[in-house]
Amino acid sequence: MEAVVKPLEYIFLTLYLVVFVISLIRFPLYKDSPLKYFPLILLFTVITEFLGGYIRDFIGTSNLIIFNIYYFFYFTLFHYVFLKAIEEAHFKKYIKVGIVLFWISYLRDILLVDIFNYSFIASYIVGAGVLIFCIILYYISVLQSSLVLVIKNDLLFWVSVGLFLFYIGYLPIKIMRTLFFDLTKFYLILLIIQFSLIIVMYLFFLIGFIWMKKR
Amino acid sequence: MDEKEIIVLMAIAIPVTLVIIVIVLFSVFSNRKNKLLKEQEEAKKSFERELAESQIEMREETLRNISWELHDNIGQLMTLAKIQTQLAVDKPELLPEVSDTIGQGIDELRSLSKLINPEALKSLSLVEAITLEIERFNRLKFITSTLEVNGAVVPLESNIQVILFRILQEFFSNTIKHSKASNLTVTLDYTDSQLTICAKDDGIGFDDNDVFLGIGLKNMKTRAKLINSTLSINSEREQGTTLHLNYNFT
Repeated sequence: MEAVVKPLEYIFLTLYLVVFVISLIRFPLYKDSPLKYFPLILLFTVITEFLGGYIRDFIGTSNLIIFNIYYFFYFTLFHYVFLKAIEEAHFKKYIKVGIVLFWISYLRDILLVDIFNYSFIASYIVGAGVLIFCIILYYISVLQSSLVLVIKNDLLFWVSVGLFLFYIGYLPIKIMRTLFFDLTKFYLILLIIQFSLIIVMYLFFLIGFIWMKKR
Repeated sequence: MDEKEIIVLMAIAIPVTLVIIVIVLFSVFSNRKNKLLKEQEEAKKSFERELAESQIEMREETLRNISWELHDNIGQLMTLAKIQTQLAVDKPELLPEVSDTIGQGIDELRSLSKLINPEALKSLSLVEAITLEIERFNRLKFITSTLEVNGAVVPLESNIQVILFRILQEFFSNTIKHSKASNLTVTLDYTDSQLTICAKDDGIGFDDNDVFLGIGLKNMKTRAKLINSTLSINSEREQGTTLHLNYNFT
């Protein structure tokens, strides 16, 4: 089982780098859209993954603090992207409420959870839940407009599909891993699914970058 | 259910759920896209149908106008010329008057031939087409009419022009036939982003319940909507009727 996990890890780390480089090459096409911060999120993800791996493999201490900080900026940036992309005023209001809820839950985790040794599970669930909610609102907004006619060439659509599938699949895994963390072969199955979900998500990002057209 | 069972269940449920989500998501978007494309196609067909109808109605109106002009204007002039010629047999000094009348008739025929020529009609701008109508109303003494154009004239697509002109022609026709108005004022206001047309008569006006005018108004509104413009017609008994039309260039 571990023989499968390691190559998958290399594949998704390579995909991170490839997608980040392509996001820079295609940047002129979306520099005026709400996704202009997307390369920043991708760079932040690459740095966090490599730094987390370095701490785990070479220093041998818990790397959870890196990921606990990373999630805050990651979710906030994506919430902001959807807040800017959606035009309906009442949807924007819901997203703002969602962002505030996420920040409150994050503050609660900072105060009550050991940031060095434990994952911020509550704020992660809220952040991911709000992101899924933002994506659903974005889909409703697109379906009500004529944007649906050219959706194939819209980068945000492919990014949102990748994120949507990843978080729908990953949230139960995250909860399971946090509640009963134990590296038995059964948990390795979940790890394989998790890595596969990351690869699928980044493949959707890649499709978005390849098919996108300037609006 | 123990941990292992939950994990195995999740390992099966997650991929299955995601595949279902992908299928549902893409079919919803695909259906919506097809529905929108169908609606656009129908809107295009409807526009073309209305455009064709407008062109036919314009031609019919033009033929009616020619008939009126031949009968009421040129016909009268020719009858007068005939009477004057008969009188000139005994009084040759009346011949210059005969010549004047015939000359007037020739001038009217020239104006008329311009109206009949389809190429000339196609090349007319909206302002020129309205000016011709206004001049005709004044020449034939149907109604005292004026046209005011404000701002820099923006050229319009010929299809849009046909629809706008047909809407105005319908309004003019109703004014002349039903309103008993003495004056008609047409104003075209051009800005960078839109054209505002205002046509006002000082006739007897009508009630909203007037079915005949209601149908005409509905036609005008349908056509205005087809070119993404807004149309309103306000009328009150003894207060005249006003048409307001806003057409956005973008």
